[in-house]
Amino acid sequence: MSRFSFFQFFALLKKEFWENRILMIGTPAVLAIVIFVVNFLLASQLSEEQLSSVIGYFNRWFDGENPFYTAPIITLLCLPFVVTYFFCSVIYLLNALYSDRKDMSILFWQSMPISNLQTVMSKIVTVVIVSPIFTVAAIAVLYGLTIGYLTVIGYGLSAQLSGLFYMFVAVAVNLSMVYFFLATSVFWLFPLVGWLLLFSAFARRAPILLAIGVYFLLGFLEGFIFNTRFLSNWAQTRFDPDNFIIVDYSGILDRLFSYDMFIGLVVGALLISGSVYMRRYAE
Amino acid sequence: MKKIILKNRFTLLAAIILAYTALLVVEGLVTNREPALLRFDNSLFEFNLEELNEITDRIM
Repeated sequence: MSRFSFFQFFALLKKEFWENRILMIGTPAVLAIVIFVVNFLLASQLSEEQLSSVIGYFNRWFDGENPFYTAPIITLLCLPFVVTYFFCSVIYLLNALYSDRKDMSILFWQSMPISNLQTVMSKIVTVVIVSPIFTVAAIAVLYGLTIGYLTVIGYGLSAQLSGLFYMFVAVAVNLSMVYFFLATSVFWLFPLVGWLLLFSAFARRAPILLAIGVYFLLGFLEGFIFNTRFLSNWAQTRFDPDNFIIVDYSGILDRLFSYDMFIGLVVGALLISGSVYMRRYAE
Repeated sequence: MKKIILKNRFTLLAAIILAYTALLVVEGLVTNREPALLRFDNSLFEFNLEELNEITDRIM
């Protein structure tokens, strides 16, 4: 990749960021604020003794423990952010190639020296690399504020605080794990990404209805005509949480370099190439 | 062939969906992927709708 192509692609990523900053930054930030405020209100209801015992529990759980063993415990706290990330990504992908045709800005972008492949790739890189950064940053701020709050309260109550340092290290390990999970789950769900982009590039209106409706129609026709369930079975395998949820780093390479991951990338690449060709029909 | 596929957006969509379906069916046949539409079995929960049918049969 030449220097010019690199800066060109970087500019496309910046465009995606500016156009979708509410989805990428606003949503996880609001969620973090809501969770922090709820936690703060709950903590304010507790007496000094109860607060001291809560800090004591944290201290015992994390003090002296290997952060790689304790990090998965905190992963559950990230669940609202992960769910929000997936919903935001689906909304983003459905509108990614639809909105610029709707407001006709596609004509401006196609007059620029940017290929349709670069445009579509910028959408995928946004979902895989850029968007998880902001989700993880929001979780990091929430964790930081929570640990800071516990430290201040614990210091005031003269509680043992050494476990909070280990908790901080476990949080750092956990954040890297969450980022890795968000990025790799997009690869696992690559066929879904391709399907959404294809209908985003195709639909004149309501891409979500077309994307869902056509898949259900295909599945129904397959079952009705051939009495087989390959499509529905494929979708079920892809969405099975066991196949793509990552809570620790053990056995990660076996999952990343597996046949199922490979075939998912092939199917996704087929659909994404379709969405690139679909960009020709701007009218 | 290319001209037919790229004739308009509908032919392109039909071609991609056809290729997608063919790929999944062939992959399903080759790997003998077991259809398990009525069974949800993962670390979070286990739910088998086929068993519900058996229960309904017994009640009826």
